[in-house]
Amino acid sequence: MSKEARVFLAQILWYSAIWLVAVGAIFLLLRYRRSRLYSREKYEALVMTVSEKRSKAADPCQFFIAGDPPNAEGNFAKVIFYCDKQRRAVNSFDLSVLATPNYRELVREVGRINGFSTEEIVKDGSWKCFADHERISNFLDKIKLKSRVECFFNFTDGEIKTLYAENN
Amino acid sequence: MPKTTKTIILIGVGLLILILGFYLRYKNHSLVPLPGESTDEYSNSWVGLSLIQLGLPVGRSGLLGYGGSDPRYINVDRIYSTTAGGGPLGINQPWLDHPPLLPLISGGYAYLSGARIFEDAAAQIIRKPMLIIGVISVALVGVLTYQLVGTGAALLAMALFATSPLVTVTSRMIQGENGVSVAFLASLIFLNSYVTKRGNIFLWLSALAAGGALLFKVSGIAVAICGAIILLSQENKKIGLRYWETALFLTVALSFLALFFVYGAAFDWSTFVIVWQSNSTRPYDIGFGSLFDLLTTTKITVSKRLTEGWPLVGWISVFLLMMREKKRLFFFVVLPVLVYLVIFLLMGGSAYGWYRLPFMPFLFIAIAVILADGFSSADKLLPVLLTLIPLGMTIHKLSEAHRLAAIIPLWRYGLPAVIGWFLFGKKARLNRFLYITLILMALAANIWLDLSLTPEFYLKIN
Repeated sequence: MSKEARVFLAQILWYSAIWLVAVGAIFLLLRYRRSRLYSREKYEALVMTVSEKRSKAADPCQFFIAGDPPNAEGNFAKVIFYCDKQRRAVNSFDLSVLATPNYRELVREVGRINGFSTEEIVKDGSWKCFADHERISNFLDKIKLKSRVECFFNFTDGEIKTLYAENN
Repeated sequence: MPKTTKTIILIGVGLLILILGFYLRYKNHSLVPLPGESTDEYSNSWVGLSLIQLGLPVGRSGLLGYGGSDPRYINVDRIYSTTAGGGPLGINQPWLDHPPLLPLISGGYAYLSGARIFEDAAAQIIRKPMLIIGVISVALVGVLTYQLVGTGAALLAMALFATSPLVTVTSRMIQGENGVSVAFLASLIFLNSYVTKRGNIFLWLSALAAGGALLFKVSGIAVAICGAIILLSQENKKIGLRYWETALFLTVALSFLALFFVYGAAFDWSTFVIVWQSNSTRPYDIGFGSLFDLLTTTKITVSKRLTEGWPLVGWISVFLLMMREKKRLFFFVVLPVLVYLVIFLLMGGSAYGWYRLPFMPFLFIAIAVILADGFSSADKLLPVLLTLIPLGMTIHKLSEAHRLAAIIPLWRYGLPAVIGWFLFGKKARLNRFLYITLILMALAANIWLDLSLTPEFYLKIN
């Protein structure tokens, strides 16, 4: 065996031995950490919790979800909030994210994403909500695909009718 | 001037360039590129954050290999009102698209900064480590150029690389290629030290840096291949020794790739294999025009461009260096470009701007070599023309943000005058003065454009 072979082969073998030990330890450590740390609840909290550092929205019209969901393939809804006569927010929403596809969950999820409270919309009755121009009487009803959900604040029935007539 | 004083001045200039490079990267770093323009940036940080907190990598992936994903709206930086489009992000766990080094850096920094959930990982936090990586790149560009050519070219390479608007903007992005670039440069610096007969430790350091590149992204294999070719091409050593050096280098470097496999196996081997296959058959853009596109367009993301002249001049400079018979320049500047080009084309990576990042340090070193040679050469026409290309392009971009109509006649008549002067003018000292003035103007234009790149202006230009 040549001199360089002796020198380099020894280094390679030493490195390989150390590598095997280190990598074995890393493998076990990764397995151990996962088994100790992971739970579905923690995952949900990590992914879904709203950041405290993000400023809250003043009302449902301050922010919106822009653009149409590209991969929704018909499984989407438009959620439009009319906060007063001048201001509205149009949200496009992919329904596949909802575990329970009803109107309450839809409005709640849009509220979570944009950072506003939805209790007064789904409970109080201070807002009037419609799905494809039909009043939503039960927010637990299943959402119709491609529907247009519109919620109005401080609008009379007559004003809503006029608005629909103008839009049509 | 005493040698010590000269050295201190040069180190001082180098430090000033690093400070300037940092400032240009820092200014508007959380706004340009626009947050959400590439959601990979968030995903990389989320992978690190989830590894720390859940013991499992969780991130966004578009790969079919996972067989579906968990769609979620994660409105970090309010991207859904701006850049993200209306679709939710497809979340996968375990996320095994790429090795975990960059996620651990970015996500680890976010965790230390108080981020505990995905929405906390805002661009303002997660891009900060990239600023440091960007400045390290500038320093390493200087070190490698110094080793290969000398002080003047090194400072010029640093200045150009520190101020190029394209490099400045893209170096802020949390993309593995920024890490690959640093590791590539470090590996070559150590390898150059080793082949110029320094100790065995440099071979080890070079191999470890090459391995580091593989932990940033698998395309970092280019570093290992490049190093192996350099080691095998040494003419002053016996073939047996060259083989053993290469064997050690590749054993160490590729052991990091094997580590990625072990990492995948620790979470889910079958998913890892399927994702690996899915990654290798990814339908990237590999049209017939890929090479042309690479040379002529300067992209940031898939669709966003920031047109700049320096990369084109860099390619021309690399071609010029190929025609020279300086082997060290070939092996340490041209070869890295060629090897990464092969990997880049095999991956079909021309669709994404960040896949081009590992070319950049070498393109800018090549430019600096050509421009520094021009300084000592009597014939400066070629380097002058090469300087005028990016200078004109940068001023053109600036004219979209500022009122520069007044200088259009100056440019119109000045440009032919400059070309004519360097074609016929034989006054060496005056030529040298004008030449340096032109390069300084190009640098000043770079800095001005960097400082002008507000989100509004960034949206406007292409």
